[in-house]
Amino acid sequence: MLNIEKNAVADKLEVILSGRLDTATAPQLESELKDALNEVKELVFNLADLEYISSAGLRVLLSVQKVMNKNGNMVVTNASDEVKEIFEVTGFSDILTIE
Amino acid sequence: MKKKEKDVIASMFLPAAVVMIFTQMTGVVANIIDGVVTSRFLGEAAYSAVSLLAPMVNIILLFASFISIGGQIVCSNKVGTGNRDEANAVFSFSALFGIIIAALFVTLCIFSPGVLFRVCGVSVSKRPELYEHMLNYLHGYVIGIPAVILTQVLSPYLVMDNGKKIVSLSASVLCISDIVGDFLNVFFFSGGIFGMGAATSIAMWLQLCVIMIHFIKKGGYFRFSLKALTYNHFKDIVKNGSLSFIKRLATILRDIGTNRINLFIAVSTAAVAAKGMQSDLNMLMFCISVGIGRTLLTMSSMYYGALDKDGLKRCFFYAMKMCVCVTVTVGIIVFITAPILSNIYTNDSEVVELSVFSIRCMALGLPLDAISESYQDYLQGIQNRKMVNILCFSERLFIPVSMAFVLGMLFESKGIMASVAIGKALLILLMFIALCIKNKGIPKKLEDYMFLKEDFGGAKEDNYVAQIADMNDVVSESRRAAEFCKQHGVNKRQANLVSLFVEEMAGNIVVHGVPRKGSKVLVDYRLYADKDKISISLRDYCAAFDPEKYYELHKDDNSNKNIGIKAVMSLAKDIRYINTFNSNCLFINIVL
Repeated sequence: MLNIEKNAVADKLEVILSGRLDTATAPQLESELKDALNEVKELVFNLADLEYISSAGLRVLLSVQKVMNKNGNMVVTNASDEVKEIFEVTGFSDILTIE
Repeated sequence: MKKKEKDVIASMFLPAAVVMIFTQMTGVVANIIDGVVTSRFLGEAAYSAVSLLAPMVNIILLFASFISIGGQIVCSNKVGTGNRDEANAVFSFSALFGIIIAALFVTLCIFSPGVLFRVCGVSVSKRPELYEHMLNYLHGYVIGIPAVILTQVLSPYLVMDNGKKIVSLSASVLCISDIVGDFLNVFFFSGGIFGMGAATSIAMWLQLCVIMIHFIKKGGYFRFSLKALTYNHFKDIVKNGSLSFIKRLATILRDIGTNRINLFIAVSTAAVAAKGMQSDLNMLMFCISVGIGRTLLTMSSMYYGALDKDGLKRCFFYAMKMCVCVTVTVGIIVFITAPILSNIYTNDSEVVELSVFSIRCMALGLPLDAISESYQDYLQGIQNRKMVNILCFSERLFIPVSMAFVLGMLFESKGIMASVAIGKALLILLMFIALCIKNKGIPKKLEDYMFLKEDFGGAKEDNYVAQIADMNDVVSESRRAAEFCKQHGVNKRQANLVSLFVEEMAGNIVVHGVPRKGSKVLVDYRLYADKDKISISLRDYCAAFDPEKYYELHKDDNSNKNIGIKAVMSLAKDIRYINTFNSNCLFINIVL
């Protein structure tokens, strides 16, 4: 299960994810963000409560990163050690801005 | 478990068993044609002489079987856990051992044939007319002995190594070339009984040449390499092979015993010839039992090595079902066509009458024979040596010889022929009684028949098995895997890894796997926990795909691709892949 909470302030959007970002829930995230990024210049993913991420979730993050590269910037914050490990071994720590 | 869950086992078992049955049968058909041609064109005495050499052929096969099955069991155990180097070492040692044994036999046959004949129960003084025929046949047969042994040793590895087509082709080559050789010998070369032996030898060498194509060409799994061989492997091969040795030895002693009883009681060469025809057909029908049994032996060893109780149960059940269905059908056909089969050999009315009776007795015993043989092979696969020894000596020696003696004394030659079926029925009854005693009541569940230790494969709560057919299954099993880990006190990181491995690797199979013609993608999935590790195994029957090789080829590619495999290969410290029985088997162990 994936819970998605969005907090928008002006052109900044914070997306708080909790639960699992896997093959089943990745389309849900993609769908939520599809039209939400139009006016956003600063996107922050808060992954404090994200327990698990798989390649499906990484692909969604990658596609959002590509959009934000044109529109502004994107940051991933508060990722757990388990999630950071996945970023590391897949090379996503070089692609994403992780704080 | 859902009904579809039998598919992967059936997909692995059935093609392998069919090939094994076909291979065995073509060899026996060639043998029978040898017998028919010898009987029809070279005379009854020549045919009787070749029949009496059966114990000698069995002795050769005894050693071939010792090496073949011992190696097969140990190798399957290694394959069951994806241990490639060790599997290769065992294969290589088996081949080397086969060559040495062959050389010894050729030497014995050339320099001391009398020793072998005495073992067969024939002496010059008692049957001089048969002795010369036996010697001439041996001179022709001795050339083929190395090919006989190496074919026996290498064929099971071919089946494991996805070489079923070559096995079938080699068996066809053997059969056709032997038959052609027989007729050329009789109608063209007039080589007599020596020519019959030589034709068999040439056919065996042609078969071996075809088999060797697989081991020479690229892409096969087994290659000659003694690199990882240790003394323990040698010990295990001998230990496991010794059971086959004992089985065959019991068969030889039975043949010698029944030969002597038959010669003692039988008043004519006709009775010997009729018994020979029963033996020929029994050999042909026995191929079904051997084909199913040998496949069960290999697969049960594989699942036993992987401590996979569920896989073992499904495999055992499928094999027994196949045994009963096929042999009952074939038995009925043979029973009805017994007169026709007898007339293929001879027109002599005395021989025909006896052989119809003997063939029908054999047909009645066929299903019992198949169950008994497959059961022993299963027990051998799970290394229950005590039960195999008890069953084997009962089935192959004590019961047949004692039945042949008692019934022979009461009913002469017909009694000996009937002892084939009556003995089998008695054995099955005794087996059932033994199981009732062991289970302290009538065995009701499949496990009651399987002689597995209580703690084999771990406790029920330490095992989880399922089948995965689509991405919904992938996701739910991935989540369940995390729960399973938490229930076993595994830390969050490792639970996440297990979940990830299941999602990525099973997901790859479901999305990218190319199913065999007429089937769908289906993954046999098992999760097993013990105090030291969590093990994941994934088996599918799709086109061969080695994720380790794929990762090596693509690990430096664009980092946006193959994310799932990259994550798994980087994080899994113990990951093994093997392709066997045309199925992809992936094993991942997470040390706790």
